[in-house]
Amino acid sequence: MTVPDEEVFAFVDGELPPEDMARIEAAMATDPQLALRVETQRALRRLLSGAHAGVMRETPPEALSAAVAARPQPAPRPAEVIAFPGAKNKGKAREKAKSREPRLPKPPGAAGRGVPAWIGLAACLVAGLVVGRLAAPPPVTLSGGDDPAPIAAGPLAQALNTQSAGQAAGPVQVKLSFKTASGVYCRTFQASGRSPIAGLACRDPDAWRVRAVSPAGPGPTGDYRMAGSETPAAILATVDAMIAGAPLDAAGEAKARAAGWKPAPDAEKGGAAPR
Amino acid sequence: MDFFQTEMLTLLPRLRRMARVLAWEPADADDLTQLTVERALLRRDQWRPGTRLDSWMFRIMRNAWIDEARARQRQGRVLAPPEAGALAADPSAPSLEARLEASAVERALDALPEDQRVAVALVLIEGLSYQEAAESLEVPIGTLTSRLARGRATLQTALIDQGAQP
Repeated sequence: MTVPDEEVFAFVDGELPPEDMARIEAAMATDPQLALRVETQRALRRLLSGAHAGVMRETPPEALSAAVAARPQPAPRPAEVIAFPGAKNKGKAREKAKSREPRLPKPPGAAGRGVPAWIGLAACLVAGLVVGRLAAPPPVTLSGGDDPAPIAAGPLAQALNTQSAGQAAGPVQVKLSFKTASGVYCRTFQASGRSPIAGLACRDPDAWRVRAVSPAGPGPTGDYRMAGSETPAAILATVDAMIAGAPLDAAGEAKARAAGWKPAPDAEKGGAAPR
Repeated sequence: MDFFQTEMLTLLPRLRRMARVLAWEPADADDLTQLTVERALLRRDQWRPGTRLDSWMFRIMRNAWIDEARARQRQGRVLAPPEAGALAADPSAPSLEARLEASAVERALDALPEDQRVAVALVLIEGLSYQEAAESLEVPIGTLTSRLARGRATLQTALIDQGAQP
């Protein structure tokens, strides 16, 4: 009986179906050559099982054990951004912002597994900004309704409505205002706090909806921190994906504010762009 | 620490061993192990409870190694493990013969092309099944067994046929 090498290997590795294991086992009794080949492979396995055995007996370095025991740090990673559903250019924006897995899941209460810790903090902060400072923020605010993008309220809404870009005041600072291709006004903002965030909100007919948030500012630890002056790259990438023309200057902002931030499609572009 | 981390802690020696197969230099190997642990913690939601944590982590390690190796070419391999002398005073260390023999095995293993070396290590050192090893390497089973066969042939020539005794 001729047994190919692969079958000898699979026999030694215990990878053959039971009937083939038995067949080889039986053949070895009458075929010394086959028995030798099997024994050679078993010897090789025994030799290899001792490879790098020294490291198995050592106590792993403290740094490694500590790395295992560490909680994953919610370090601000600029490439990550929460893109809330409902943004008009969301597909493009998400792609451009390279926003990956951490998106808020659609069903309420499904958050948690595998979502970086800062998202929870950011979501709480957004929820706080959304519902104001009175009641405990119901998380359902983040995902209820037809358009799940949270509505800005409280100090965030106030800042978005009234603050001029670059005017540093209060817990929320508006950084940049711009128009999308369909004439909708959007503004980036930063919010100070235990876990500073930056975000992007766009004006719906009746409210500002938060389209994206991302951690911002200095390191992940410490108490109350002011937001850094730089808008995170992930938010800027979202802006890049949505902006039409240049950011608004002070005069453009004043005009938009006076008009209640109602969409103002550019005349030369022939009216409202299709969604 | 939770269950996931406790399991990972018990895997540490095997992760370090696998890292030696990939990186050889102890310092590089521990750096690779650390990177693997960090990545695994970040992606822990991708591990399905009930599946093997070891093969899942070996896959992370192998991908981390590919990423690292692209950035940094391996330089100046040493011919013998640097710690060979350091072990001599340790009463629990294996005999001189065992160490020399182990070194011969390790050197022969290290001389294999990386694809074959990793396939051999996963199946013959770590004891993964063909299926698990193929999944760790993200290759079809046929590719895995082919690499394994070629690696075995070379090792057999280097170790068995040269008279090394198990």
